[in-house]
Amino acid sequence: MNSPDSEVPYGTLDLMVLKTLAGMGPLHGYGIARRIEQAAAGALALNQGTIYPALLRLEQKGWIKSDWGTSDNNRRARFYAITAAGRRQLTKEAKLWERTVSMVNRLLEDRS
Amino acid sequence: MTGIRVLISRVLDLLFSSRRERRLEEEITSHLDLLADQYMADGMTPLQARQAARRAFGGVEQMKEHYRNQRGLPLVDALRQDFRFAMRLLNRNRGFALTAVLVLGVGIGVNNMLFTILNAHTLRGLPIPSSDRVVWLSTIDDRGREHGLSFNDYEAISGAVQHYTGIAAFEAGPMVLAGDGRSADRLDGAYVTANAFDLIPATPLIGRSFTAQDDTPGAAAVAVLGKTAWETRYSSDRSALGRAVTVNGVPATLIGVMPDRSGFPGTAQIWMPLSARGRDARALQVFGRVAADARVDQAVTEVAGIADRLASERPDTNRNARARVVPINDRFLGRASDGVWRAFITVGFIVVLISCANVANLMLDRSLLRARELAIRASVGGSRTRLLRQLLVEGVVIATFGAGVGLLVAVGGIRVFRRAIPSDALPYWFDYSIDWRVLAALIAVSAATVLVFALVPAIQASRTDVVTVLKEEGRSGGTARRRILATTFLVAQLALAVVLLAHLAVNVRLSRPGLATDTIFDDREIVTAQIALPPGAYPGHVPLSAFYEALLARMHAVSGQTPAAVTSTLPASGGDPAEVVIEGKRGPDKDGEQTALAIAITPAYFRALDLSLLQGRELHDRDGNPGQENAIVNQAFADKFLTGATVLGQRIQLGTSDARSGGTGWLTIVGVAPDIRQRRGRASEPVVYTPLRSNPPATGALILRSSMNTAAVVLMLRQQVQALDPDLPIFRARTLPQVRADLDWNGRVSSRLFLFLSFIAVALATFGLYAVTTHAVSQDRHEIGIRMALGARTHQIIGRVLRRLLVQVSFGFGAGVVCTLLWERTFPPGDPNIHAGDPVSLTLVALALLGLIAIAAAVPSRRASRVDPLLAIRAE
Repeated sequence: MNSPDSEVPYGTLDLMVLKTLAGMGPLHGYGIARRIEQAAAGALALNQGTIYPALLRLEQKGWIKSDWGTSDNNRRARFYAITAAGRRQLTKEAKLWERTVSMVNRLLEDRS
Repeated sequence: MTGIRVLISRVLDLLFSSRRERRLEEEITSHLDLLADQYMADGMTPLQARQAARRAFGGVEQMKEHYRNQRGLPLVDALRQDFRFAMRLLNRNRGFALTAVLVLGVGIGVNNMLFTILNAHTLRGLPIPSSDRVVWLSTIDDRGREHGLSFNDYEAISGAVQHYTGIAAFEAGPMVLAGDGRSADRLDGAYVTANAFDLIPATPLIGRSFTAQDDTPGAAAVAVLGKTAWETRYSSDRSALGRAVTVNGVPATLIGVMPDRSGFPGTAQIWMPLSARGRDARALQVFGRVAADARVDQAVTEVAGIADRLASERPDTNRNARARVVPINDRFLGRASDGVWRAFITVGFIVVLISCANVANLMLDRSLLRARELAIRASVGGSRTRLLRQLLVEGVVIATFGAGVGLLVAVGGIRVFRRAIPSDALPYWFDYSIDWRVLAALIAVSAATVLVFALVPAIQASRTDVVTVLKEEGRSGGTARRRILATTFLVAQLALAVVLLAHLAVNVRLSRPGLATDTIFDDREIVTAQIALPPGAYPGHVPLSAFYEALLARMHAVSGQTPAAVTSTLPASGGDPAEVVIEGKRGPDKDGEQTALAIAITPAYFRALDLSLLQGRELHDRDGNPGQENAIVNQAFADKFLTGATVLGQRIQLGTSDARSGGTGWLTIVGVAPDIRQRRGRASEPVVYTPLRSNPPATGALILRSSMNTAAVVLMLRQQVQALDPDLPIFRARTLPQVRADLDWNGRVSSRLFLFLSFIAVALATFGLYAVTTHAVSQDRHEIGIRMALGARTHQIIGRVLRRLLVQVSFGFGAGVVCTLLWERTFPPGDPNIHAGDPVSLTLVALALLGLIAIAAAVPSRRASRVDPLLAIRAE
């Protein structure tokens, strides 16, 4: 379905969802998906449905919570919000991500 | 932390799965709507917008599946599906399901019933708090007999130990409670040290228990009553406390009431301080509680060391005696490792294995019928482990229902078992109720049965070659292999049944009428009752004999024509073994003791039993007087010790092997009596009947023959006894058959239990034989049809069925003989002449198996003979 270079790297979707919720406040699934697509600016072809398993995973871990609400255009939707534990996790993962990225970058630079 | 949280939320998902599913559905709808709104705002038509939304969202069903995997516990979910499927399947095949559950339930139930008995007798422990920290002290003499401790030894030991909270002693024995204007009661009682109740610990319901002050010589006599005695004698009246009574003729005050079962252990209902018994006690029962900071093995070593040191310091009183210190549970309960219990466990497993083998064969049959279904499932991608799991889940479902049936069978079986035992015959500490051990055993055995009955058929079924089965319409897929398996299961269960049948044969042979000499006389109208003359009121021979003579005269007045008698020992109630010396003959052989049971009787004992002597005469009124020391021996005595000689006029001497009573002088034999069985399970033993007058017992049994109602006779006896001594109760009033039944319950119960087990085993094996044969016939319909079409006669067809059956049973019998011989090697038989592995028993078993064949073959062979060749061949 997706070409390999546009697939969401494994594990990064969780991080993106957390970051989105931390920055934007409570959002419904569609809103989160759109926000991530905008941020990717077309670099990422997200199957919007795939964020639901990710949302469930994060909720099970207690990093986000959810409740029914009403969207801007008056549709019933489930809104997700980041929890305190979620914020702590976000900081941790963001650091880990930075370290990983810089390490991989260094490796790649060495090679070239 | 997070891990646990995820687990909890997944479990919650599992529980509320339908709600979660709805939520997912709603979220997707809402998402798609929002997307579509967006596209419409961008200028699409509603239809286009919806399509675009679906594209952007991705595969809805795939996402749902992904989501579901994330949610809940996939394995549990799958198991739940398997479970539902299994339930549906079993519901569709109710006949199969019911048979399997019942067969398995009977096996599990019998196993659990045996375990419950084993548990009560060995594992549970005494009803004493932390009974594993209480030890029992006694001594063993050089002949291996156990004795109590003397008071001096008890004092020395309890003063020297350090690893104990305390050591207590008691002496149990009957006590007569009287002296308060009510009729005398004879109760089980005990003299105890003051600390005994505290060590158990047992606290009084009302009043107090003994203090050290009560247990000092010269203290005012006090007594504590048991709850039952308090209820029956004083109607639970609190004013019983402080009441003046007499116990064994000694004035005492009641100071407290103990809950029932406060023994150490024992059935006592009345207690007095040991000091009231005096310091000359020589057979004290002694127990100690190990201190909290000491180890039990330390404490055992310590006290054994002290006891052995005492033995060497006082060689005169402690000669040849070794100390024996064991945990109290070992002293009063059996050990699961004892031979009899190992045999019990083995039998339990034999029954459960037979039923497993049966169910395994049912499963094999069914997996054959399901071969097509399994093949299809395999061909559309069901993995082998998945198929295996499905089949095992079915097994688990059957086993679970089987366990339920088993529990019912076990509870019912125990109830019947309890009813077969007289209520006072077993110590109260055997508790047959269901506890966690019984339930754990039930679950463990049921789980194990799944492995036996479901695993092999499941592996077999999951191995199905898909192509063959689908091509051949499921008829012959793996038939040969299956048949070998089915035959193996059948042979195994037959072999196990043979072991039980062989023992049943022994049981039947041993209980043949000729061997049981206990009903040579009509004893239905003989009423007996016992009296115990307290030594305080009847010191020595003269007052005892005077009492018996006066009583006998009164009994004769009541009984009229038929004579009454008094004896030291009733028929079937044992007797005191005594060494026998015969005038003019050498003493006992070196290898064996020459002993006979000594029983004291009054004149006309045999007439009271309605027996006539074989030779000579009954004892006279004068026998037992000086110059008239005569005795009667039984036929077995004459046969064993006086072969070929004239019996009458021979002189014998009895030295009771118990050194307390000195034995007799020379007795002249004046009569020979027929053999009356005194002990169960023994052939006729030599008995010497001596005149009661020359050695009157403190406890005597009254015998009265009367056609009147038993209760009326008992009432009369009581009146006569209490006319002579108002403080003397009579006890164990019952007819002679009741005496016998109460004493014989052990043999009766165990042989009935065995009969029951054998019946179950044989019924299960017959059923197995029947099922396998029926199945084989239905498998062979095609072949039978061809044979019939070619002109085979009915008897030839039936012959074929029977031949196969005969071969299977022969294999089973052969394997069974081997098992029986192995069994006898592990559990040596009691009687070397009549045992399970001997040719007679095995021949009986073989005959029984032929009977089984006839039963199992009847229906299937008829079915085989009625196969319609046309239909059978066409059915292919």
